[in-house]
Amino acid sequence: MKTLFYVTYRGFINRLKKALKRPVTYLFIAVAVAYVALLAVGLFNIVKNTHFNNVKALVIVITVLLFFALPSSYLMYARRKGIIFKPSHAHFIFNAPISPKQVLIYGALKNILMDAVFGVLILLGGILLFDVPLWKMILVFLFWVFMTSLQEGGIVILLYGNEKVSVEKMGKASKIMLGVLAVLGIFLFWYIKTYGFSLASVGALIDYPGLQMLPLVGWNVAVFRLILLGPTTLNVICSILYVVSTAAILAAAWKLPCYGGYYEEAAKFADDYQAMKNRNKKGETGNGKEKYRRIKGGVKGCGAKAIFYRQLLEYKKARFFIFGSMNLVCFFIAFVMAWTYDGASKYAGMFLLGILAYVIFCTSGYVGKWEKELQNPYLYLIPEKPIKKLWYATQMEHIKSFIDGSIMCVGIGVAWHLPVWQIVTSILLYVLFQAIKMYMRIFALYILGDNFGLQVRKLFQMLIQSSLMGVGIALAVVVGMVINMNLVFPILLIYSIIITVTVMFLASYRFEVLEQIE
Amino acid sequence: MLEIQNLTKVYGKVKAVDNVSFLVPGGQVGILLGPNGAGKSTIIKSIAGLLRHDGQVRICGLPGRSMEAKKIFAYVPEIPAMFEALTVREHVEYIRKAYNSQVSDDEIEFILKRFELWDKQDKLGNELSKGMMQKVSICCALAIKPKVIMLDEPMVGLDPQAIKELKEVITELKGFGVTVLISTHMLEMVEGLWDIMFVMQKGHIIGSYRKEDVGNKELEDLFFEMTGGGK
Repeated sequence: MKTLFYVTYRGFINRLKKALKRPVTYLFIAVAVAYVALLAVGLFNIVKNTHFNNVKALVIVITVLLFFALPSSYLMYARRKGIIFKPSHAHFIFNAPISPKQVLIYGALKNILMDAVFGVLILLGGILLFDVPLWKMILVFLFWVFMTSLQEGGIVILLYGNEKVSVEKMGKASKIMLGVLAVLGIFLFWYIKTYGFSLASVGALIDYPGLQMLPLVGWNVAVFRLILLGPTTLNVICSILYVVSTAAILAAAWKLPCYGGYYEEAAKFADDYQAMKNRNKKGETGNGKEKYRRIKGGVKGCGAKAIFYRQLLEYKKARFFIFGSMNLVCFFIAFVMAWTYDGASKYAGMFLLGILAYVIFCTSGYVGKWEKELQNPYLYLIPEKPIKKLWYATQMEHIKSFIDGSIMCVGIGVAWHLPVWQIVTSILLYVLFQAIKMYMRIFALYILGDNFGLQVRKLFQMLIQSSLMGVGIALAVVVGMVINMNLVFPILLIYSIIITVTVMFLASYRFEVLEQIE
Repeated sequence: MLEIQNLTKVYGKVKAVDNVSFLVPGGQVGILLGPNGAGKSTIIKSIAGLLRHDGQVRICGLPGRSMEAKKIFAYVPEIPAMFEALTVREHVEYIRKAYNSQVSDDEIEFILKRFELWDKQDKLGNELSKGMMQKVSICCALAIKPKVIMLDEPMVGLDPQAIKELKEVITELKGFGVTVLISTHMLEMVEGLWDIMFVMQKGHIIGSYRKEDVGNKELEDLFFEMTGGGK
């Protein structure tokens, strides 16, 4: 284990040294501290105002946390997931003469550390927010950090490292656990629907004796009830059961033979995890293992048009054609907005634009398949004008934006009884702003290249993109307020067309040079 | 000595390796050849303990998954994966600690200089090129001072100087009585290094040759004779 701690310790020191050299770290820390402080103050006020600042409320919080976290962790461990291994572990650790059980505990250390972080938060929350005596909170903290972690460590070995139970049987067990979780979820839904969501109803559910009798999770809750609320026959018995079960789990984990059979799944997980991280870095979504159908027909169109038709061919082979998760998100947004607001305001059209701007802002990190085009050398080699290549390489994205925009604008617009011209203009504005976002991304890549790193590039892109959009919105609002609100839409539309065409021409320069950036 | 007995690996309904047995005698260089999809990587990963399998792997007579066997076994995977935040030197230090290796500072200096990593000791894992990672991977394997070493496509990504060094290292290891198993596609790279060769196809060993039995016949000819492809 000392060896594994060496890896963690040296890695931490090197990362820290590197981070301290970057000015952006200090900016990030300042923002994070401000965010946490803001969150803490907000939480403090909510807890005080809702009279949630008592020991009973803390019991509710701990119970919800345990019931939310523990069963899902067990489920993940049974499926040989939930522990993050990296390809470097498969290379240097799995082959090394280190006990596979130790490797497993090392892998689960992040989860156990997270438990400790939650322990600290509960300790602080208990003292500052819930007015619980210090000695009780120290006991809660120690129990949370040590006993819960010890039990989790034992369960990790028994579930993840178990070589006595076959992978198939473990898979069946995890399905049963999933079923139990689903039943619990349905029960919870039914309970809240029947009794409403209030402190009294949740408190009554939490006080239900059967809850503490549930093995492991319930017994764990009983210990905290014993410390915080005082002894009852039930919580004392269940607490004893918890301590005895933890000892039994640890003894069983100690005795369990483990020769590293789980390395197979762990190494595969490590590769998948790395691939996912790489995709996230590039802003791609999905699991990267899309299955394609076989279809008849080839790539139509010549020259730059071939780029568009090749994309179309790929989409035809895809399971859901050009439709994806973003459509569902848009549908959900439209549904929620139509459901929660009736649009009874003369500014309803403006609200719709605000929603669209927010969606565009929130999906800034999301990129579709088109960015892969930039990594395709043929894009640069095709003998066509860069502007044509840029147009055809991104045409499909405009169509997709049109679909997303239509789902939101038509859904919300009809529910809010907006005029047709406002709905149509909103759709066009959504398409144009998405196009500006896309072209800005290419332009940022052209201007900054790989010299300043991904984060600086994103910051630059966001800055310019927000400024351009901000100027347009400000201009439209001023004209709207001074002259006529109905002018907001056409002014924004004309402005967006001008900006889109300008940025498009600027971005097209990127298509002249073959420079692949990782 | 590296001994594989009745190794079988099944993925779902697909038998990737079917009842494979072979032996690389102590102090000899074995090469594992075969076309893509023959099952070489599955065997290599099974020997390295990264896959569950049926059958036995024995390293110098010890069960492959035992701690004693792992202490004397080194593995250079096809695709190196570094600890991102550890320097080159710290990778070697980790190996020294994990294997309780008796490798001295002078020996580490010699190995790192040999693979042109001495001046790159302070570079972090995520700052290395693919070729440099491969060199670190080889240096780490050598720092174990193994009795059995297995290299999966070791020449891929290496520059000509490093390939030359690696070939020399393999010859030296053989001289020290270390058993070597190399899995590769690059036949010309292992020409002159091997003592025993195994050719795989569709999950089976379809043949093996000992160097002393084939005379001056080239490796490429032997390979294509067995697999039925070639010139």
